[in-house]
Amino acid sequence: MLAYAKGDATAFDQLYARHKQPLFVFFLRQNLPRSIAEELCHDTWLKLIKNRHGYQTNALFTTFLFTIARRIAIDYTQKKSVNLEKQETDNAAQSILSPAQQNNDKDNQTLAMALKEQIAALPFEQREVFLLKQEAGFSLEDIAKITFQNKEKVKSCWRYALQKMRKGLRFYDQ
Amino acid sequence: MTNKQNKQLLEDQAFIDSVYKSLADDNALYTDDELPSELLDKRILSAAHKAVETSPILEEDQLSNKRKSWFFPMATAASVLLMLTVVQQQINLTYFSDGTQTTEMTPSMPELAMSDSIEANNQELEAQFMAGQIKEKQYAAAQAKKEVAASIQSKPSLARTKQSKSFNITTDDTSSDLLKINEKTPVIELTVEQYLLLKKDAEVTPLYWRLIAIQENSYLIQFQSSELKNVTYRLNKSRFKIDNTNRVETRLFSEIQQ
Repeated sequence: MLAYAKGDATAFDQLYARHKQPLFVFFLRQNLPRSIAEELCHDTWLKLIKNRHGYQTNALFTTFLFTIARRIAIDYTQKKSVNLEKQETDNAAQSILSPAQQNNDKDNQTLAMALKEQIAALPFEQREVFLLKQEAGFSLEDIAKITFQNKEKVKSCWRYALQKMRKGLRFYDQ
Repeated sequence: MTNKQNKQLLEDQAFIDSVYKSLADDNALYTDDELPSELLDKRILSAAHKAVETSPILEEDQLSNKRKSWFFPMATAASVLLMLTVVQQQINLTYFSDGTQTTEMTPSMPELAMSDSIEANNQELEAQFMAGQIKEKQYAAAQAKKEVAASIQSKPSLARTKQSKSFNITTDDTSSDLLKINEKTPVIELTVEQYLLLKKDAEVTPLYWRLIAIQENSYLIQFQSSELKNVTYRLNKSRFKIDNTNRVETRLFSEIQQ
């Protein structure tokens, strides 16, 4: 990132190749349509390009990137009032039963589908923490920095998210 | 968090990890449709390259950062200084108003200039006020004069007196007491007819008067009535008798004897 900030355009190509999928998946897993996820992804990268001189070496590049991404995702959800799934109850989450679950099929394809469905069913805060921890590979400390929250709260969200995910994927556990 | 909760957390985490591992081993974690489109890739990469090509020289950005680096401490220092000055001034003002502080305030040049101008303004206002008072007195005297003349004309006996030249209005008087009131206060010679009329009126509504001055052949008095106020009457000593010892107190009309 520092090389890109100094004017090395090829450095950005490497950065993009390395981080484009986790970032795209981060948006996709927020219950957003593909076109919207692409749009938000585009906005995130453009914002990063614009603020390239503001990047400081004391923070990880991924932290910098996902902080921007999260802000953009929140702005979008607030604008479109898509944040309603926060109120969904555990029961509602469990009611999303895929045909795969109903058949108790342990096939990996169906497991992948069930996993995505369970992630989508998580409340916003828990889903955010889950995606950053499990899919983007951040530590709880980093997530606390990205989300500007208390570490204990992040840990709590993480714990609840895991509980719900396990409950939802219990057919795989058996 | 309790041990039980911790244990549960670790178990849940291990379970989710195993799910992810299983999917990753089978390359089923991410499908092809979970990659951004090539069009998006191109757009982002071209924007990145364009930004670097057209971006302003880096030194300029660094220079702006340097500017920022001194701007905030400078602004903070200025704010603190301003705050301290205001607090200091407030403290000084408080001590000054209490009068408990022995330290004198040394006014600055603008403060001195301001106090001078305020003093000059006050003097001017005072002069205007005095001039206004004098004019007011003059106007009241003129009004009283008119009223007396009108009352005389309305009563036939007094009208006759006017014809017989017994009704004199003099404006020149050498009495120092009278000068104290007003140099232009009119002096009216009180005739016997006037005296009788006033005596009648005084029986109905009490009329008070005050001795102003004693002259060789006459007394100068003033009535304490709204109608006759600011008009000095001359009482001829040969016609009227009054107790001339008290010049301060107001007295009843009945104390004027014929």
